Amino acid sequence: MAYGAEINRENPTSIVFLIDQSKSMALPFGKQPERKKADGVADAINRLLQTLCINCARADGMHEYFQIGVIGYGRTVQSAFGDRFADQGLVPIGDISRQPLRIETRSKLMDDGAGGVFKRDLRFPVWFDAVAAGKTPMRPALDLATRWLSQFLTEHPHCYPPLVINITDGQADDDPAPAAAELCGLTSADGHVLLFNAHLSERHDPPIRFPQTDAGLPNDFARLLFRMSSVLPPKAVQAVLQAEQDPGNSSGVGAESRGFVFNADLVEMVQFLDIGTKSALGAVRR
Amino acid sequence: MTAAFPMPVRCRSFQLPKGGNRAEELEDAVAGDSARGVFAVADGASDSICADVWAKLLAEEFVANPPGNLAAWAAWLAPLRRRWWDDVRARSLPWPAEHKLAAGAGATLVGLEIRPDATWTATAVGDSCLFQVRSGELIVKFPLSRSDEFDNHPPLVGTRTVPVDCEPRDLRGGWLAGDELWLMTDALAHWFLKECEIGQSPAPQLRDLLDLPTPDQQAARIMQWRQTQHLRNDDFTCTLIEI
Repeated sequence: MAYGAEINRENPTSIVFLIDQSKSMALPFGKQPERKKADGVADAINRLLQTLCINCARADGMHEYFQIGVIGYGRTVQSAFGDRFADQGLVPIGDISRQPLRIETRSKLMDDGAGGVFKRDLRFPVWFDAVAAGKTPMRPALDLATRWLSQFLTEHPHCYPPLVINITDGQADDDPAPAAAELCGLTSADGHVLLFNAHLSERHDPPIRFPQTDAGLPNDFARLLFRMSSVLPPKAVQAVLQAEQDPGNSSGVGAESRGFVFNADLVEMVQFLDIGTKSALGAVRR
Repeated sequence: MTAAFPMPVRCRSFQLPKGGNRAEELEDAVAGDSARGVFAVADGASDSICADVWAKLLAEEFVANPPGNLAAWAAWLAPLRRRWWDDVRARSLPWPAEHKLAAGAGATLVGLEIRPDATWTATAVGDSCLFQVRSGELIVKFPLSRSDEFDNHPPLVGTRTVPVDCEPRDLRGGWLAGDELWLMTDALAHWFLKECEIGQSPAPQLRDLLDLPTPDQQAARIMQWRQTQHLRNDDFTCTLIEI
């Protein structure tokens, strides 16, 4: 069965984030006018990297379940980790946990399980800051992800299929569809590489989550991103259904739903990223 | 106080970590006192930090100082939870482990108290199981009784009371001379029930395993089961109590 492989230290998978860093990302979200899209994305990815690191932590150290890539595309197309990992491309999660850009410390009160509390400092790392400059070179970003994942799949041919999450707020400079098709054509023994797309909006238009067809999509750009997006594997459908136990938060997700959200605000984007990563975390050895 | 059993209780155990893991990564714990007839196995949840410490505390405390009855459960657990925090809070951990530690650890547990009056009481949380075999027949399955009841999210005894505290179950039974009482963690318990469901007799196979002369031979047998039978690749703990 596809998308059934276990993620373990001998058989890790990869998650790659493609982040639109074009000039328009400096504009705010439509529903959060106080928040620039670039800042919201940087915070969300930093938190998500924290979550992945925490999930890989064991008492004996970091278990290398993931190799992570973050590609920023705007004025340049390159690893958003900057010089810290040189030209490494994908970075093992343990290295990411050990080499943040900076660490912020906050105190938290914790219960001792026996009716008492105690104070403990917790460290919150940050890996990169917001960038918003230049155009939207989505195609070269997809090409770079394809190069990194081709190499990864050569080394890990039986892995749980890598996941690529593309976060963008606008039209690409040139047609990204062929590059997306090439990326999704990569495969492990367990299935094709998954590409999820999140479109951010500075307008108040209602979001469209995990559509099963392109029938209700408002324009050609939305239909293009829909076609570029992979069908959700069963674990991701389950993750959506679990997240939607709150009534009124229903997307109508189904077996043909794509990993795609259009007109996302900040909250929608964070939920979308959670779904993507939960589907991969669900395959980690327990 | 040491109870005087009318006949000796013999206990044997074998443990093996999940394939691919090192021996020190085993998160199952087993404890027993044959003279008093008290035994326990616990299985630390592998997605929490220091779950092995928690499983060991639970199993050893159950044997040293059994909770007695379900009404005393919360009072029995509270000092154990403090002891776990006291043990782990001083550790110097990388930042991701600190966050994980803040969420606490969890473990499943099954404990058994055998009494000289030919009765026993078992207490369980989660999917570590007790099976009683008499003259080759499986007569008690506790707390799970079918292989399809196992999943990846069993109830756990947590080091924290949130989001939900655990609710232990107990069961009383009786014993006769010659009975076998088996305690096992989830992978083996699932295999045991599955074998029964397809008409096999798992208890003699497990006795053969325990009778093998060396740990290496026992490990090889388990690895063979993992490859050729439906034994999940997980920490393995098998305890046999013979009366």
